[in-house]
Amino acid sequence: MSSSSVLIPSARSANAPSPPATSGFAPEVIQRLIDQVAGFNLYVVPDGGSGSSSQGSTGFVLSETLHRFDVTLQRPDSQGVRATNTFGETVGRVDIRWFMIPESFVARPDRQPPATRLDTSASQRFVMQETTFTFGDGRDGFRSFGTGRTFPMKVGNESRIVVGAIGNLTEGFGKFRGHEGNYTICGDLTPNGFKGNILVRVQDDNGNLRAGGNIAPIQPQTDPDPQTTYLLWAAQKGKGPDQENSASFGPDGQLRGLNIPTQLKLLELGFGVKDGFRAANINVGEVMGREIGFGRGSVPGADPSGTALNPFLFEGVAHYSFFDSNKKTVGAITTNVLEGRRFDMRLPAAPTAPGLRFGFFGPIVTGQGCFEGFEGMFYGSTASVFYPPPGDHVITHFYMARINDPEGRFRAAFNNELGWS
Amino acid sequence: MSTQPISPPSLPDVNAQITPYDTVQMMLDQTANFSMFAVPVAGHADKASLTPNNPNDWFGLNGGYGLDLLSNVHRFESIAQTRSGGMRVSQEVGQQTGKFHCLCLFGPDDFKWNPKQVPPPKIFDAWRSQRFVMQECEVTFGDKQTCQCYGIGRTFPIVVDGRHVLLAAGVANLMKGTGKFEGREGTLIFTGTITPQLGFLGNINLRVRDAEETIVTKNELPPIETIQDPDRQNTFIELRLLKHDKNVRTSFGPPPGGSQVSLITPSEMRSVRYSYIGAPRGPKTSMETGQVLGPMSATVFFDLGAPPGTAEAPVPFTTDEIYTFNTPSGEGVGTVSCGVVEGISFGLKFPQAPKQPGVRFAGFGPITGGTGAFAGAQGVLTVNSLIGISPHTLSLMHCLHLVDPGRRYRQRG
Repeated sequence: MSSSSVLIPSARSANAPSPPATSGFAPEVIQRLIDQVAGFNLYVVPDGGSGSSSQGSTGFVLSETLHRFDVTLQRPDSQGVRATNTFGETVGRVDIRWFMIPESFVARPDRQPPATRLDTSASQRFVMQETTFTFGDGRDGFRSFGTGRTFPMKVGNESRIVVGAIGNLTEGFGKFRGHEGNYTICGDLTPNGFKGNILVRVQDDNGNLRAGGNIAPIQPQTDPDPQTTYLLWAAQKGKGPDQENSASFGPDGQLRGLNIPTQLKLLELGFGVKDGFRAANINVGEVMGREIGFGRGSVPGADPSGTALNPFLFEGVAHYSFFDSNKKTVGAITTNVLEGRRFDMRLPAAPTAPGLRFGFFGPIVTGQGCFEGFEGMFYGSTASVFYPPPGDHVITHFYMARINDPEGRFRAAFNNELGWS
Repeated sequence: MSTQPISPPSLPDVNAQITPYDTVQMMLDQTANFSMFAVPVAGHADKASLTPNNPNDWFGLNGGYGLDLLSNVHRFESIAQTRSGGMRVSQEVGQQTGKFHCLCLFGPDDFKWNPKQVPPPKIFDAWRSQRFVMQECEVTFGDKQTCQCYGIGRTFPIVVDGRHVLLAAGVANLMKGTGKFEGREGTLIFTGTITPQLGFLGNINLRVRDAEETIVTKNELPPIETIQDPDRQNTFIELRLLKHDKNVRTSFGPPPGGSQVSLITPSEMRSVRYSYIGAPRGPKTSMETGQVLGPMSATVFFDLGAPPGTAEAPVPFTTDEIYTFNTPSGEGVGTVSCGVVEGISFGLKFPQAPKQPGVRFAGFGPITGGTGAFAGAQGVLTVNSLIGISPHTLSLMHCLHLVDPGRRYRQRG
């Protein structure tokens, strides 16, 4: 989504004076700074606990297993858009304390929510009161807080409670000590607990999360969810008029949000835990599509700052077109970000730059081309430095689409006998 | 809902006869009734936009802050029959007669009816029941016969066999007509499904006043040319409701509070064939009533002190309703409970009887329960009505939209 448009401060008229347009650093420098990041995918598999996703449950207190998870999107072609999904070896544990909450409840780490029962037929909010990740032998990890929503869906012939959520790191330990970051969750509440993906983005200005030797190849395991396919890609700003941001004004002449295009690019993320946690540098590849999107703050007149206790809330709509090598569109999805949480972020090497990091999720509203008739979720984790148009805008989105794909139409073959196709 | 009738002395006698009951009934029925079926236009989603005049403003991406719906409109006939053990509906979609275009913009729940203003934007959330404004709504019959409407609607997310389904209903006032619709009063309602391609699939009922009877015909219209059923997941029960006779009295119920009153209105349901054609020289309609299906009781809540509703400021109302279906021999088939949650009403005048007050009103709401053959029913009620006040005479066109993936209400064969 054009989540960066969430940077929009309070509503401003078309004639208002323009704020500063640049941090004084070249966009290429800013791009390098925001890409100093540990970006990685986890897959959570339940292995029992005191929670349950049956009708009437109020919470989930569980300890679950973390696995490596690699998603590699292939260059779209005439056959459509496909990715390998590789579910890998155990890399740690996650301890969760999640509770259903009323629609209007203002969640905070220090506020216990009222008992609220899960309704499997309705979309409900929940709070991730505490979610603690530990990697490898347990020395490295982080604690976090966040909120999310349930989305009852059917995948194949199976009714599921799909969830999307955004978490913010509240305390790191081991290698994660002193780091800030966020993650976005998308998966299912199953009778045994949460099962699904966590897309993590942790700022790594000093590089300690990426230091060390080579990362061992993923060890593929049996597919825990063959009916679902994940597609991962990046989005960054390109050059030229096609990539310029613009303001969107309502009929009353007031700023209602921002239009932001980006280029979609192939993306590789990776990490390992042998001899301690270590992430690979993110690998952003060639352009393979275009995003057009509109975004705005969810609460009119809200303070534009985003803090751990009071993140800035945003929403928006975007359309993602995927091109083959001849730049012909082979498929497109329209997605709505229903919940976005944005946090201010300081870049030590460019302290005056208005850095931001954010997470978001929402449904795939409709699909065209190879996506026609498919349902699913869309989510991501992002960092950017943003000045309102015509100012500089530097951004790297990690985008993920989770497609309900019982026939494996979006799965690319993984070249390993333990993998799946 | 309480059914204990009371008659506070300050309330008007709605059963008095300013004009003879039968005359009022005749005037109310001078109305062209169009029962239509909307089937999404294939490929429209590729071009759909909320801001067609500014395609580079991506606020207008279809499915974001609104829905740009375009459907082909077809003839539709739905004849209900009760029989021992259940309900059977013969539902047929016929030849295409025109188009239905509706630009739905999501807005806050408390946004007031205002044809001159777009609502503050709200993002489309298919998992929440959301209110929308039908900012541009048009039904066309060929090139020259159009009904341009403004209205309000709401989505209703439900779960059907574990699958998330989004129903939508709307009610609109005819603001401007062309061709045979020029200068007419009318009300449009719809209920159906928002498809995965963001199209509208469902029923549209339009009623247009036709005192000169230039649209209504007593002649038989050409039969429907049935096409393959475009919607095998839903059954729409079309109903005509009247009082059984002039001796059936309407009473006031307990006041719900404020300046609101409640009016308890008994009526009788009949199956009905609403037929129309979109002839080159203008559409024609006819109506043929059938089997008595049972009684319907509605409690209508409205502000008795409000001035008559207008196109700019209709008077809102809500209802609680229970539909009791019986076989011709009186055996119970089942009941449907529902009520209007979004209703609008307009003052109604009769040129032939200037002193006779009346109301034109329409609305919709969810089905909230069912018994017997309708146990577990899900769906939407729409009402499209004209009534007289003193005497309280009814001419009601209702539709019960039942989500029916197992086709349990459909006629076999």
